[in-house]
Amino acid sequence: MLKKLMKYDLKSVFKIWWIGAVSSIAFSIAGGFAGGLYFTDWDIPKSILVIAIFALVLVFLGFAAFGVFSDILVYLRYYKNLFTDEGYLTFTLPAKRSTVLKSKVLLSYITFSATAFVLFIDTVILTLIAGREYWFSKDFVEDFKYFIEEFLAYDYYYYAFIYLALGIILFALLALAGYLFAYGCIAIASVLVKKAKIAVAIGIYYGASSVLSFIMTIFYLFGMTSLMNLFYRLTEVGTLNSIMMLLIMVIFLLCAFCCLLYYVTHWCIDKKLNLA
Amino acid sequence: MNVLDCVNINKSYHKNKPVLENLNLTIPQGRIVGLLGPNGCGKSTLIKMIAGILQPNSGDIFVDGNPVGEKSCALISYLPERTYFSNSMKVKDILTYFKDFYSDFDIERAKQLLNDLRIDVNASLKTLSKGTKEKVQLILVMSRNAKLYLLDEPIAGVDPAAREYILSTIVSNYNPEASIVITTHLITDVEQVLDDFIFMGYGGQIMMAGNAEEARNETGKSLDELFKEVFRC
Repeated sequence: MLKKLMKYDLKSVFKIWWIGAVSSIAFSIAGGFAGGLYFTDWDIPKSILVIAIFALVLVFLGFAAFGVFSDILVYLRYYKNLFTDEGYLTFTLPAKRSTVLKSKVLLSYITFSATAFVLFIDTVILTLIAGREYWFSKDFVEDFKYFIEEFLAYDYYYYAFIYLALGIILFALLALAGYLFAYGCIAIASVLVKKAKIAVAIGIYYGASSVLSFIMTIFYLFGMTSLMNLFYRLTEVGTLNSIMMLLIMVIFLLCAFCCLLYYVTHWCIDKKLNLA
Repeated sequence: MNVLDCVNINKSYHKNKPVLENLNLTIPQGRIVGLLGPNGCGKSTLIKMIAGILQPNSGDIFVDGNPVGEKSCALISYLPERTYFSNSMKVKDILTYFKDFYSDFDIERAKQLLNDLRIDVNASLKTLSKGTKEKVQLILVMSRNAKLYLLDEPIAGVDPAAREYILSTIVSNYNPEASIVITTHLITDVEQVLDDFIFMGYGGQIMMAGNAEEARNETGKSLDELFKEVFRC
């Protein structure tokens, strides 16, 4: 049943998502040419360069807009499919509510991954076009060789790969937590009120975010001060290991937070939601 | 064998305002049952709990011996009082949707019924009128070979000619081994198709229930007249 639910969720989101993807790629091409004006040997008038700066700003805003657009598609699908009249169909399907929720979580992750991939391609396209004279020159090859040599000369270069892996896991969990947080706010709002659910959900989201930010700031202030004191006393490898342990601890805390958010959302949908 | 058992059902939306209080109800197999009552007495609430959309505060509901959940949803064909499809879907998409999720869905029967009404399967739902959307929904629901059909106000807000079509579709297309529960307050139109009736009062109180034909013969009154007597203001 999960596969069938996902099929329709993905169809619903991606039939509109691709418009944003194509637009962002078009933006990246335009941005590449605008940025390339700074690296060319031509004598470009200053007024054109100023316009190019504005164009680049618009391009980056376009990238951000595409990210927001993808998120809105996912949240809209979740809200409409579960908390509006469409819910009469969704909740009468021969599927457990946990399966319905899992489908929405997986949908959010697939959309996030696809959006991140397109934005990565956008960055590559923009950088390649803007710096085309550099990327295909001998200077780049020399600079790249130098970078690799310096990197491998560092005694603890392998920590970079560990940090990269932990960073990817952390980034993935942060994305998941973000989606589950929004899903939870929408579910709680739908349980609490019958009208203006989205407005209440946004209110809960910002309220809860503010509380979390405050708690995180307290931890950060005390935690970072203690860590800085600790790092001064440790050796280089000791500091690197401490940072690694810290990242692992944050990953575990995020996992627990995601589980809590999932449980709360599922409880709202399974036990408390009244569509009437 | 009962296709539906409701045991001590309690439901309230607000404190001190119960909608259903200690409701006990059984529906035998192979019957068309009219769940009749005044507006706000809890008919739709009960139907939604059976369908799995709402949770009772207490009590148990069993559909063919299965508690409300994944298995019971596979046995129930539910027609709500509102359209529940996304307007962005086409009729053929909805046919595929039902075929995907319900193994008992007869797509050829659905296509035939849509053809009879001259509804284009390639039409988008947003181009159809409210009445046509409701007919599409009814056709999809009645094209399933379910154990229990729950039809919540199937003829409300529909013109008299369409009401006759809807009732004839219900009677001619349902699985005869299944049961149908129809909730409505338009009794005159519906009573001709009913085998049994249940008069439900406020709080889910069962005021009167039994065989429709027997009630008419014993009292010499139609169900509509009986209803007016029982629920006289």
